Amino acid sequence: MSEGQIVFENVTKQFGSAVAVQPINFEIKAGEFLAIMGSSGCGKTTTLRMLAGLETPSSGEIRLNGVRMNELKAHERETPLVWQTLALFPFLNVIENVEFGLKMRGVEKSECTKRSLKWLKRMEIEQFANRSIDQLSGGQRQRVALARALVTEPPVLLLDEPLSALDQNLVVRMQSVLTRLQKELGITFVYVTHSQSEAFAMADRVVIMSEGVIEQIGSPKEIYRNPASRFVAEFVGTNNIISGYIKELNEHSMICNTAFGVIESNLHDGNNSHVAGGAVELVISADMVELSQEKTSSKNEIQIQFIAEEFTGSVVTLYFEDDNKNELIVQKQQREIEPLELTYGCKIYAHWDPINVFCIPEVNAG
Amino acid sequence: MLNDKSIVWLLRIYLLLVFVFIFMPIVTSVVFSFNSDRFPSLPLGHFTWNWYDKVYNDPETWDAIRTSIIVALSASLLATIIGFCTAYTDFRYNFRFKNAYLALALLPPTIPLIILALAMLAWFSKLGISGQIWALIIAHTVLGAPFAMAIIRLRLQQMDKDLESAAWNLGASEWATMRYVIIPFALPSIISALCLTMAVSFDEFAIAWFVSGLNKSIPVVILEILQGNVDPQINAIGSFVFATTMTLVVIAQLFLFTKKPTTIK
Amino acid sequence: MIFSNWIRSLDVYALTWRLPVIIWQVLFFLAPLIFMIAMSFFLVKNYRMVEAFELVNWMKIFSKGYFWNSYGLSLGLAALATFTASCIAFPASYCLAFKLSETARRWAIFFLIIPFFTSYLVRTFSWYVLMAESGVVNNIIGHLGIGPIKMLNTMFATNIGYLTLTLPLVIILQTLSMASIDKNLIEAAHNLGAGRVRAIVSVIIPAARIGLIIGALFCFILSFGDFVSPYYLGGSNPPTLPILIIDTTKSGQQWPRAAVIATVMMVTLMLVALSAIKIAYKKR
Repeated sequence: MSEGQIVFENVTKQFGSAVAVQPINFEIKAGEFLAIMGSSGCGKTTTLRMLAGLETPSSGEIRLNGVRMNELKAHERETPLVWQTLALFPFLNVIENVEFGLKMRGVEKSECTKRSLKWLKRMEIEQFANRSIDQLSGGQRQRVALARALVTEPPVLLLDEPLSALDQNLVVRMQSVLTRLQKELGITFVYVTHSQSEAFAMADRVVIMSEGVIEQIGSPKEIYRNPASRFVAEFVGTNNIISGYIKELNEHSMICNTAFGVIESNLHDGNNSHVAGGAVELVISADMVELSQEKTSSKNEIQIQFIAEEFTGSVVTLYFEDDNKNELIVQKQQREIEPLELTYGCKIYAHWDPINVFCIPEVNAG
Repeated sequence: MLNDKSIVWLLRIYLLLVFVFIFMPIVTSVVFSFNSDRFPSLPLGHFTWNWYDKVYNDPETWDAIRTSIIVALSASLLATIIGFCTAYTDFRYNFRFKNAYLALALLPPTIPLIILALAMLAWFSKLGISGQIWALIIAHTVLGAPFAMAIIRLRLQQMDKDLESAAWNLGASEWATMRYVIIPFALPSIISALCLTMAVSFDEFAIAWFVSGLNKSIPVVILEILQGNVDPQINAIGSFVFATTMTLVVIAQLFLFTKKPTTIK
Repeated sequence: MIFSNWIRSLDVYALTWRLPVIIWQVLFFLAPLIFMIAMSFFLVKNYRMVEAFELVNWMKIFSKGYFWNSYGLSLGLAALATFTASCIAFPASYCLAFKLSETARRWAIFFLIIPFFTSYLVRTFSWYVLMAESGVVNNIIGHLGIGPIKMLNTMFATNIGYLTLTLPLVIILQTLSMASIDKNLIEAAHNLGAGRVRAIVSVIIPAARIGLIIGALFCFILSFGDFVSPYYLGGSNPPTLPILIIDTTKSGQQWPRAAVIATVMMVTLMLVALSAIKIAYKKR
């Protein structure tokens, strides 16, 4: 299997007068697992469909391995898609579904069967070859859909929210199947999802889209720790976003006045446009906040009151307020908070290291 | 209040009476087709095959049956093709004047048959095909196509919109997708549509009476007997037609409803 | 150049499914109707039709008293059938929609479809036999000491024939529209203290309005255009418009005059349909 390198150059898409995708520019590296993430209507699915030839770009150029794709019809491309609905053919059985792509390419019948069986084996569903689709479980159907898309050995695999219909525990299992498959095949995966956990768990890089615009491209860690815009900061993870003004600017750090009082933040690479007195928005990830019963006299320490909590598995999301009703969100492992003996209304201390304070660049001008 | 039992039972008895009213003529017709009296009344005469015999031995009946079958087969085929094209166009495309297009395709059943009959008689005479079996086939195609369209459209409605795109995505051209995806998916409804349009054609008498000339179909023969005297042959032919169309309708229903739901979540 | 671009931009696949239908329907559905309207202005000379544009047929028909009698009778009979069918159907549909299980309802609708596929002629003939002087009905009520009642060749018989034709369809349409009413709405009406009748008048009828009106409309169209019942059961004295069309076409060879009558029928039905649809979809 060859690898697929994809370039989007000034690609736009309009439906009538509605703009679905603003000019977007990005490159998907060969053999990369790229996730495109955003809420519904952000243009992520349209972007994927343009790649598959199911929509024609209004302007711009899409290239696969350097070749312009715009004029190629959907069935002339090697960009199989795994659909959100799976879109398995209900009137065909499992192996006939998998054979479909080969048959359409004029591959001889016995060869079709041979290659399809190989993929059914690889997806560990060969015992269901002659079953009809509606006799399969959700996870098994998922594997059929994958086998059907991969049987033609394409350079790129497109996935449109393929796991959204599955149970949570099955999602995690399929995630590992997908990542392993991608590593073994070495082909490019383009994965569209609205789920942050799916994108961050699997992707090498993540594209965040909003209203037809790319908000940020980067590794999951970059996006998580250093969101490029307020939108990303709010969309990704659980972040505390705090507005304020720069009071002092040093070589490596700055001191800001905020609703929580004075907050010190390290200056990170690529963020050199700050001026004293300018407005900033600081981002503190909820899992980077330390809690203690006693004052520790660390930097960035405030006293807060416990108001609510929310369990999501082993992680607990805790909601606090300071005296002025400013909300602070903290995420901790269950075992980490047990020694704190939290009761509703109790007052404790929170602090965070200046190295974990990031600021959103675009609001610098204030 | 809602569970007031006596009212519910009254309503059910009422419903039963309405069904008795609706099915009375059908049942009477079948019963009287085996009854010996020339003018059927109560008490019934004795059981007889006489009327069926009479019909069976009348060469005109066989001509009519032949005509009806030829017309029904051809018209149902044409009507199903046209109905399929309309249903697929409606399913797949949006375009300017689509409402006008759909109106053109769906309006025939709302025009009284007697008006269509006169209009087609005049038009076919002008085209010089009036009285030929073609005239009848064309008329019944026009009449049946909207029903075929409705049935096939309902089936396409159940199809996952992505199925067609998925086929293109896997390398099937639009034509191949039609051949390997759309038609196989719609097949049960296509068979249903064939049966139902056949039944429509088998039953239609007004247009047939006007345009068929010497190619009389069965309903036209019935109409002509009806114009004469009271003749229980009508019951015999009627029961035969009833058996035929019901078979078609039951086949159509089987294909429409017992086919397992095939959309995938 | 522009033309060749236009050719290239043609979507052959899409047109394959679209064009044949348009051509077929224009040629064999629209053209006959338009030709029929045109024919109403033709002349008949020496038993042959001559294409012309004269109002003479229209004036002839409109000046005949029997035409207006027939027109009035047709309208009256169709209206009567629409009213009786709607009234008879409503309690039955109400029962089907609210008082029966889903399965029972599906079976009932299946049984209501059956009549469409039995010959209307044969069913009319059955009624003829049932309602005759010495027919089954008089036979039965004779044993009870009543009758014989003259039923054939009356408006009653015509109406029975119309009901045979239309009642199943009206019940199906009413049932479907009532079954799709949100049950919570009715529940809410009851909770607010509305009795059964109040709930029907203030909730069910407004909510099912479109189905009720469309059912009535179809009943009107079918009855207005039917010639079998008024002829064989009603005795055709005076004739309705469809019978007039048949007589004028079949015996008189006066196709243009028949076309006038058919055009009048079509315009009438169009007006009725438009006003019915307007009422059905009127914003409350």
